[in-house]
Amino acid sequence: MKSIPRRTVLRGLLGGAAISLPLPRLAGMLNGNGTAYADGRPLRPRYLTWFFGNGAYPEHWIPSEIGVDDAWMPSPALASLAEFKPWLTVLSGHNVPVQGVGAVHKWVAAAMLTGATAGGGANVGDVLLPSLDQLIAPVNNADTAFPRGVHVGISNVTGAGALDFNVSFNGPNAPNPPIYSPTALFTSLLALSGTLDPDPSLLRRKKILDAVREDAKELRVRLGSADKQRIDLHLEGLDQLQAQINASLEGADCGVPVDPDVAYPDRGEDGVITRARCQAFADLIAYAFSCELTRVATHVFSCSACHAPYEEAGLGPGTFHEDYGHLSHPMGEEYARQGFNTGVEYTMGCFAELLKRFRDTPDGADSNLLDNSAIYVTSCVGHPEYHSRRNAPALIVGKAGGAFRGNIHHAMGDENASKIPFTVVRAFDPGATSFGADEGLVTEAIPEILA
Amino acid sequence: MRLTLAMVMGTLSGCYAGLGLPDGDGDGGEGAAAETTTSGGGSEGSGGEAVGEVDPPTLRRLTRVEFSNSVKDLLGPVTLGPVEVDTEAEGFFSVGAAQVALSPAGVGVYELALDVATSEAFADPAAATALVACMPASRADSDCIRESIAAFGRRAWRRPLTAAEVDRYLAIAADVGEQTGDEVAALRHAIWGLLQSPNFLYRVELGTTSEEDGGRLKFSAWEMASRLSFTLWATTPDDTLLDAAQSDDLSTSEGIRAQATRLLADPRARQGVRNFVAELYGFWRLGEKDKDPALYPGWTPTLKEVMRADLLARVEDVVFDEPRDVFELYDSKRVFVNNELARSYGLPEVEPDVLRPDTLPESDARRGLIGSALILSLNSLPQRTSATQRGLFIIDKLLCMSVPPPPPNVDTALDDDDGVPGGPPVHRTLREKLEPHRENQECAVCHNLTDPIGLALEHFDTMGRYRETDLGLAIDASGELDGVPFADADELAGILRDHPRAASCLVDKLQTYVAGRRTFSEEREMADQLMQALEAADNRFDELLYALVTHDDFRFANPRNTALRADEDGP
Repeated sequence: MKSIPRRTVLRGLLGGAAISLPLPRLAGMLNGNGTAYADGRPLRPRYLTWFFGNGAYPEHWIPSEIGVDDAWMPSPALASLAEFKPWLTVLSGHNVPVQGVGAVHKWVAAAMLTGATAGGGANVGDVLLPSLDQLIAPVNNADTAFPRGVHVGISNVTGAGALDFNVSFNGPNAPNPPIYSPTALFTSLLALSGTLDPDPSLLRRKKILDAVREDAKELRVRLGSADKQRIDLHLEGLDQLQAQINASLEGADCGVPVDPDVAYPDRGEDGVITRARCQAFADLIAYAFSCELTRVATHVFSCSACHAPYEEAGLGPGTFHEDYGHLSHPMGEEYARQGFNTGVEYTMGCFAELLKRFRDTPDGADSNLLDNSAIYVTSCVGHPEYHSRRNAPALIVGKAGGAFRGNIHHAMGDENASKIPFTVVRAFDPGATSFGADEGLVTEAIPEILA
Repeated sequence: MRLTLAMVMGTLSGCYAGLGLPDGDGDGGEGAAAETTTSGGGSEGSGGEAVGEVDPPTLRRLTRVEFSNSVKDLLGPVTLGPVEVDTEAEGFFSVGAAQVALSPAGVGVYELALDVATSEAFADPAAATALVACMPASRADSDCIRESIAAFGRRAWRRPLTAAEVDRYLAIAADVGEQTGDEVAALRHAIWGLLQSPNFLYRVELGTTSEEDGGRLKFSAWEMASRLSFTLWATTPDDTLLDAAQSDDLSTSEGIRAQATRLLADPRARQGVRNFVAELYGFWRLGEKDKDPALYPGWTPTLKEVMRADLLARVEDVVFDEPRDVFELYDSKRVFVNNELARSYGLPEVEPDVLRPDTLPESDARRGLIGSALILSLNSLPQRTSATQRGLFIIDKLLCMSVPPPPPNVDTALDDDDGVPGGPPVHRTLREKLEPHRENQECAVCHNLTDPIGLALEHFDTMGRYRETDLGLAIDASGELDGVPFADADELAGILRDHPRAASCLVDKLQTYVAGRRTFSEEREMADQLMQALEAADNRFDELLYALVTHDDFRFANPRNTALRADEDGP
């Protein structure tokens, strides 16, 4: 390993383990004031989808007051986000107007992510449109080492259908599945960090990828339109690998990402819900965003209709969807309702781990990563017992470089829920004119939440 | 008592999701079948005969199982890291594999996994000689490397490589050889590349237009080798099968029958059937299934493994060991246990403690597939059973009926009255808790289908052990299926075996799995013929497989009297 310049590593202590904190955006990338890139282009904000399954009780989730600044306070469900209130946008009252196909968890999730219902017929349980992160990626992330973004997951339990465990979609039949291993992500980021000696085998890999690319192009000629799109994504994957190899060879200077096996050795198996696993991914996403190895990511805490247990929250081995969401717990309905709320509070506590790292990571002049990011938090239903389409949890956290005002609870009345993701997309792509399809189609953003 | 189809349709009209009802009996299913099968139909061909339009075949990404089997056949028993997850569609990974793209990030995952696997396979050059046609003695031995690339490529890509393709990978070997001075590393890198190619990662079975077959898309001999191998073995073809393709034997029915017979007699046919059964019954869910350790301390990883082994052994028993009526699976008393599972089944423990066949007493309420610990556990929750999930399994997997999911804005909570606060708990049976669902109009549409059948299994707890009572309450396991009453799970198992949908459903599931898509309505004739073949063979599943792969339609991508749907961006 190359020696690491001292300025690139900020040592800290967390939980007793020595770790390296995410770096500030590298000085060499910015102008003298740290307000723009060195070549004068404005700084790019980062985008993250943060998804959790099973919704929330509106009375537990929605703040009782509406307004800005001191006029409102976080709800019990959002109590752990109180310290991030200046960056917090809470939306309520919205409605998913699309007609569903298949399980309601799937098509409400599809609507909150794509503005359209889930597919029917042979594509039941799949999306019809790209998810918002994949609308943002082409305009905000194409020049990074992960043009489609980084996609991670905490719980890997529920199902095997497209909308069962994915939240990022390039389009129908084209998900970007999450990875559940912090170690795997760490390995990828470390290779791009510029702290390893260049590996001569990288050049050999490039030649193999060239050959595979030729194969793919020759095959593509023989294919129908659906398969052409599949091979195009394959080609894109080959290009992404080439770009990552180039980045490794060029040797960026990002410092060392936090090694999850050192910082969180007892975090639990991949796929299990633990706060330490959230912390591990939070470190790595903050690192990747800070160094602009990617500017787009998604994070599945728990998937749609998540059956996984929330044992660390004290809820035992029961499934969160059935035993708590459907009140089927042997201890009775009231126990289940209370347990469900405990689970949601625990979920937001894990989310707060990410926000802490974003807030504590300098990014540009007098700003931090949270100032320069937008994190869209959502779920697959509103009221968990009734599977309601109204009030599916929706937060926007961060200011996306000044696009959002923050510190607001905005009630949307009965407005189309698609306005929420559309407003996020517009923050990254001001040229976007619409979002969604059919009843979910919107052409207007939510001006009240903008700066 | 044998059900009549009229009874079935009278009860279940509108919920049938499959294809393959016997001709002349399908009145009640007409609307639903048209709604739920892929078909064009309706347009007129040049001769005035109705010609349906169907989608052309698509690439089929190797499922995780197919990928693992293929790599291990090619490289030996190497370590394989996880690759991109399978996506289930129509209840099968094989269908998802024909639809869903590999993500850009997933390409890198395969690259890494195959790097590790090929490195391991070539770590010992002496052992690696068994993997290649020729192990080069020096990096200058390009003829040897070329021979190995061509031979390995033919197996990996299921077709011969063109000269340009061989040259492409030979150039990689030459380059690596020059950099490293290591001829084995040179060959290893070429093979690493061959395995990353879409020609390996996807089954390329696209067919070509055959004018002599009325313009149908006919699979080439090489594509037939791939189809036969993945259908019957769930892995890449062996050299014998590829040799048959090379000599064009797989372009004829006789040649296909000869190879089908050979493949079915090979031990790898068990692997193929296991994969079908695992996909059909959703074995992947076992990895997610946990039970409350306080309530069910006996739920152990070893128990999960033996439950899976029990069911697979039952299948192999009726398909291969003593080939006989496959529907015995539905009501047989024959099980396969070790001592841990024997305790669950109330059978005696013996030494040595190995997996062995045993027979449940006739008086035992447990019988057949629905009484297997695996099926009961997979379709239960951590702390209690689920009549709805169990009923859904029977309805979907064994009878091919569809049940719509709950609509939005309905209360899905069970009425779980545990008494007044502070007072003694008032427990209720699951039947009583589910009663409101069946009384509520919105819920009853589905729960009246699932719950009465699932409640028949209430004598088995969440990990499949027999219980006389539930929380001290007597269990009523009686019910009816399509108007036929049953007293308990034992009687329900017999009804399922004799159910008129049993054969058509099994055929439809197999066709869907093999085709990698929902069955076309134009494939009804094929389905009918397969059911006839099954019946003529006393319901032997191996004979059904043979009938399927030797059926004339298996050689074509589209059924007779169909045209391919236009694709402006097609080739």
